[in-house]
Amino acid sequence: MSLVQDMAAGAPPLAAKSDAAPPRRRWTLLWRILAQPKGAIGLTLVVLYLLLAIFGPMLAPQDAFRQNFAQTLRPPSAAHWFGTDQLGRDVFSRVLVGARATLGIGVGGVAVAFLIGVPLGILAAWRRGWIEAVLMRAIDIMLSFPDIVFALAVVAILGANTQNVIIAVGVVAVPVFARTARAVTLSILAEPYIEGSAALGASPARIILRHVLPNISGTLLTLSTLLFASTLLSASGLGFLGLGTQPPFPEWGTMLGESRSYIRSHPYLATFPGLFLAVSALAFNLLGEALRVIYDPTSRRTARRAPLFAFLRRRPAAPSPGIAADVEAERSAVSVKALRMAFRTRDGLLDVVRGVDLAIRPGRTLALVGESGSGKSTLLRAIGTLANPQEVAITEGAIGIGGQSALGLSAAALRELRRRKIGVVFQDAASALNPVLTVGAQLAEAVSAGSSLDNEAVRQRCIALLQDVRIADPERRLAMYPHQFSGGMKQRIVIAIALAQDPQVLLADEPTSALDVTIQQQILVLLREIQAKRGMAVLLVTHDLGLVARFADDVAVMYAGRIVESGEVATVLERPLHPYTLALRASAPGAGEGRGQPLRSIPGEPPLIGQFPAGCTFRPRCPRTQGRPDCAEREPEPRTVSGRQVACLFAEEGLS
Amino acid sequence: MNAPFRLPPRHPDTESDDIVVVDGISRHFGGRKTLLSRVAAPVVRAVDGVSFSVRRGTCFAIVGESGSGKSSLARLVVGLLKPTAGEVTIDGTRLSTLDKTGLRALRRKVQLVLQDPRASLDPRMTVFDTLSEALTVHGLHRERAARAARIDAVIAMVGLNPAHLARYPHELSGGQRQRVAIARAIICEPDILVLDEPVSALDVSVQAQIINLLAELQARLALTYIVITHDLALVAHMADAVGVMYLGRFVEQGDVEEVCGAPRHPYTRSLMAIAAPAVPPQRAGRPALLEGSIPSPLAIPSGCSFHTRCPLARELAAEGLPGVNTPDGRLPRRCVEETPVLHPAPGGRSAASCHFAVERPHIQES
Repeated sequence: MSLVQDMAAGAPPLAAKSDAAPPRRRWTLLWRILAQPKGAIGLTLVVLYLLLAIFGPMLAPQDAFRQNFAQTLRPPSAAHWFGTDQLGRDVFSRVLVGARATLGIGVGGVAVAFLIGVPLGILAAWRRGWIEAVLMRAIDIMLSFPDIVFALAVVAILGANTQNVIIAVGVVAVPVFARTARAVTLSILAEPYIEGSAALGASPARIILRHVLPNISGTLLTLSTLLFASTLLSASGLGFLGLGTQPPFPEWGTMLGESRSYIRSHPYLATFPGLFLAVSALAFNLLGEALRVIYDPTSRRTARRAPLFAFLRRRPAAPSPGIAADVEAERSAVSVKALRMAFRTRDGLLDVVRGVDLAIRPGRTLALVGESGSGKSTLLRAIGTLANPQEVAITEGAIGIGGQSALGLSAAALRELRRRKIGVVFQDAASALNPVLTVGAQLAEAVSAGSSLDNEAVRQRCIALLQDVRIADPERRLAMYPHQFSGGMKQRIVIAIALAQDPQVLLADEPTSALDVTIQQQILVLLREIQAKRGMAVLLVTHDLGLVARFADDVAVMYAGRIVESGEVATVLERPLHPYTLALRASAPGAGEGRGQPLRSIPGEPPLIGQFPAGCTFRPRCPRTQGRPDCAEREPEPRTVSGRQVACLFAEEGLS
Repeated sequence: MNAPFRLPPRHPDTESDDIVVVDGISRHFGGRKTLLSRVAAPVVRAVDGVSFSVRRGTCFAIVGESGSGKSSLARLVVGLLKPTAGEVTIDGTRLSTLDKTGLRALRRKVQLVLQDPRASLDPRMTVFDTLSEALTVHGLHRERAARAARIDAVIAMVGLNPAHLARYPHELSGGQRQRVAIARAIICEPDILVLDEPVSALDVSVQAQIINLLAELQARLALTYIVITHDLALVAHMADAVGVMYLGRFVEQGDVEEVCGAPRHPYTRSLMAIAAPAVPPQRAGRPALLEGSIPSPLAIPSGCSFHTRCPLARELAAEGLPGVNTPDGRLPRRCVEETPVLHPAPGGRSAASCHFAVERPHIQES
């Protein structure tokens, strides 16, 4: 098949799939804000506040400045809705009149801080070296003064009026903006797409305006809304000290400050300005949140709330009664029967493992091969009893480990089973080790769990384990920390920890994918040696058929949650019968194609969980189906053909 | 420092057709005092005296493990890093003579495709914006209609359709994202693509599609490729010439038939032995394993930098060659003390920097 045909065949199903997604909206920004509850509430409140700022003084029922010493500190009444203050002024009118100054200070202060702080932060991140050093030290010095003292100094120099208060509270918030902007810019600058556009030839200004700013805007927007409230508080602090908005002009922060002396005797005096202040902060916060969601296209679908009553589901899964007896009777180290698993999502259960049978005898290595979304890692976690019941449900089937059913156990029994019989090695050795504990401490923990060995015996056992994984000079290494080891050495230590309790089963999920090729071989050879010595069963999850050919005894190929072909490595890889296995083997470079010849690629991509096609799931990509109706009608069951299990209705065609 | 090595041209008249010439290039990091610190950072020799040239329309592969300096070398070629020493010449233009603006203009001719398409596309830009940006940056197809036509043409060239243009990267599959990354790279009609592990982040069944796409584009657009990879099977499939990198230097370089077919350096031989096809081998014939891991570039071993792991050196020492004792066992004196230069192979189509590649012709049989 030629390349062009491949792609022509591959493109339409992909396009069809994605057309089901909502078409790109041409909504206005306003509509998109209102579409979110947070945005609708936030925007409504912000608009109300803005109207208040504009029309407040006109709406005030009474003169906000008229003092009436006959009526000081009155509680709310029909005449004075919010009561009167210590000078007998109508609080309601003062709140309305004060809206303009208050919001002006809040918005203005944040704007000042934003406009000074963000460029400084980006500059520091962009021009590392002495500019950054000087800027950041200067900002640290600013931060070392209490806010209010700093603002006081600014106002004292500039003179006390509302405009200078805005500048003062803005300048006080500059360090926060600068530091945050620098931190998020640094992390964005480390992203490969920044290097990508630099390689494209984009100018620094373009990179910052087009790539950095949009990507940091979410964080900065949220920060702005948070600082809005604290800016108002700084301003009220200044007001309280007589350096803010000058009396008798009302401003909510100042009003709050003034009411402090009466907080016990006349609490309503603080209540109303405080309420208006708090709700304004909330309003800007909600609006900011809504804007952040809109400007961050990646956040839209990740909003996955944990179900409210998730804890009710924490019951351990019960095995299907009939086959549970089977797995206990089996002599295999691992026995999986008719296992079905599903992810719990808001849209219900999504099948991820759909009827899997497999068995690993002691002393054998089974390689589980599959691509992303095939369910191979989910299956491995289930066998390791590590599947989180809140995320994934075992809906059917049974799992047996060393002749003991692994489903429906109590938490204590599960821990015992895990400790005694199962060892697990994951892909990323660096994150599997605790960086603040020595290797010795982590090994000792694994060795002594559930046993009553004395310290010296534990130590001897740890040394023996490190020798088993071929780490030279084990006595000295026990006292070292994970960061002092290379990636390959860390993975050896992880293997040693997995072996600490002499497990019958070792589960290895892509144990070498993160390592260099020469190290990969070392680790896999080591695993094979250890396995031969101990007679363990090993389940090796991988996507690399080359490793399977060299290091496994049996292989099971997974596609869309099912095992499509399984058997001995020599049988299956020598002459694959399932078209998917065949394609995987043929599509690797060096599989017999001449140089410069196109590789025999499979059209399309592996299906996503929840979007498995009906009938045979491989049908849309299959070169063998050629539109035969049988393939579309039913999902083929695994059957024995020429010494292996294969789930293809036309497997025999691979023999000819 | 390695002696400059250049392949003799296959046809003498095409000698001038080298589109990329890298001459003794080095890049060292650190070694400078920073503000407020009294000790200079240690020097890392990421790339140390590498020379090679790439003929127009061919594919040159740089092979190495992590820490070998292959990514730094690629960035030196693209001009994203400035060399400490040496010179890169692209299509007759010496990079050191260009100022920042000139360098940015040159980028139109040399494009970089990165490993992980998930990370190499701006998550906030649709496919259309991403492609459009490339045109904007270089001031091409300023008119709306012309721009849309160009984008449609390129998107079809990489096997996507116009429906994909309105998508964000997270709405695409891994293979589609890599197709977008390739489309962005070719939209400005470059001469050279630098591909940094172009398929290693993709699903196996998708890798072949992308490799085929790259081969098709190379033929159709007369592109020159520089591929960075750790996968010798991919090199054997795609490349015309190859340089095997170890700790900042080429230990072996030359025509891919020579280097992959009859590797002369013990490191290349170990890498080749690992890159086996996916058919069951005879278990008995397992390849010789390399001991240990690649040393830190902060402390490059003396003499031949590979001596700490070299299986050949161990074999030779056991055979009674004059040796010295090292922390890694008894090794031949020359390996530990003398820095090897690139020895051309008989026929001159490849060269290996091993003291014993010449004297021990039998290591060619692999």
